[in-house]
Amino acid sequence: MLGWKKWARTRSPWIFHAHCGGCNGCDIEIAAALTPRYDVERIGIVLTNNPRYADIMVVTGIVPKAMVPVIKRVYNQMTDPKGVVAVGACATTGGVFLKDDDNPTYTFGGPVDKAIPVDVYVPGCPPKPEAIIVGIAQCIQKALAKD
Amino acid sequence: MKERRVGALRKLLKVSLTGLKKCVTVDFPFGPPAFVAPIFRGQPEYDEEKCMGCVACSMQCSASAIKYVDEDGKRVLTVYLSRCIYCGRCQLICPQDEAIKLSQNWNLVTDKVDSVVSTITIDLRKCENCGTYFMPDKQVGAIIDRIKEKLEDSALKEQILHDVELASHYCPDCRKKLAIKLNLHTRKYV
Repeated sequence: MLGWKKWARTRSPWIFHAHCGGCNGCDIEIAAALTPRYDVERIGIVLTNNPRYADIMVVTGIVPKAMVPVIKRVYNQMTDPKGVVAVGACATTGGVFLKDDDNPTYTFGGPVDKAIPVDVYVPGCPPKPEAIIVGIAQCIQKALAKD
Repeated sequence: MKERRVGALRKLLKVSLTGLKKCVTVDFPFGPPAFVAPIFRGQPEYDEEKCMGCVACSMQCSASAIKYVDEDGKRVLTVYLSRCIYCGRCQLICPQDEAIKLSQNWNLVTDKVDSVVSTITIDLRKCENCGTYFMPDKQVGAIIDRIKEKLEDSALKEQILHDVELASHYCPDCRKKLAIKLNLHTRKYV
């Protein structure tokens, strides 16, 4: 198709922000990426509240046991091609909530990659808004740039 | 009260007018990133010269991101940066004056969780009697240096340093076994 699909898909990715039991630190950094200082909307990255319209899901927080079925359902509602970005130490590995590998916190449902496939990890506690932008840009290259 | 209010208003006006002067948006993905504050805590990095491998950072780590393995006479310390919460406790607790230090590097984005790491390899000392590796070489040197500092002008200084130097070649078990043979017992100081 002469790369038309690829062009259209990478042009303006819509983001669905799934907050899964975080401390709000990463969520505030995502909000900071939308402020005039970083302004991701100028490069076409738009937040949406409906997973059916979203191309990329940004997950923050430790994903408690109660959120595991919800996040799986939300992931299945997204249309192909889709990507997932795990933001923050909790979402990537568990961070302080997984101090002991065999004995995590009792609400801990495993990091995000146990529930759904993750494309890009953004470590940091919380990561800088620039790092989140880099993560989303990598996710576009990895998951969405298909013809 | 009124003065303070006027001052606050002036400050507010000043801040709101700076927006008119230039564009505040950082042209990040296509240009250089924004200013990084000097107190920003990023990727922890080891200093090859200073670090002695005492694993105090590993014990202190609040997320157990720092792990170490003793293998083939080497101790490998690894900081798994995807688990690190950048609290800086390792830097605070380090006895060697910031042998591990949090740098300004924030760009750690990856697609494999355990691929972003900071590592350091340290030689371990071999016991001359039984041949097991028991302690990092540099840590032994650091302990002897500290003992020298504490002794100052003690009467038994030479005797103690001689004993410490002798004992530093053996692992704790062999030290107990060879205590009489090497005359390491502290009874002689009394």
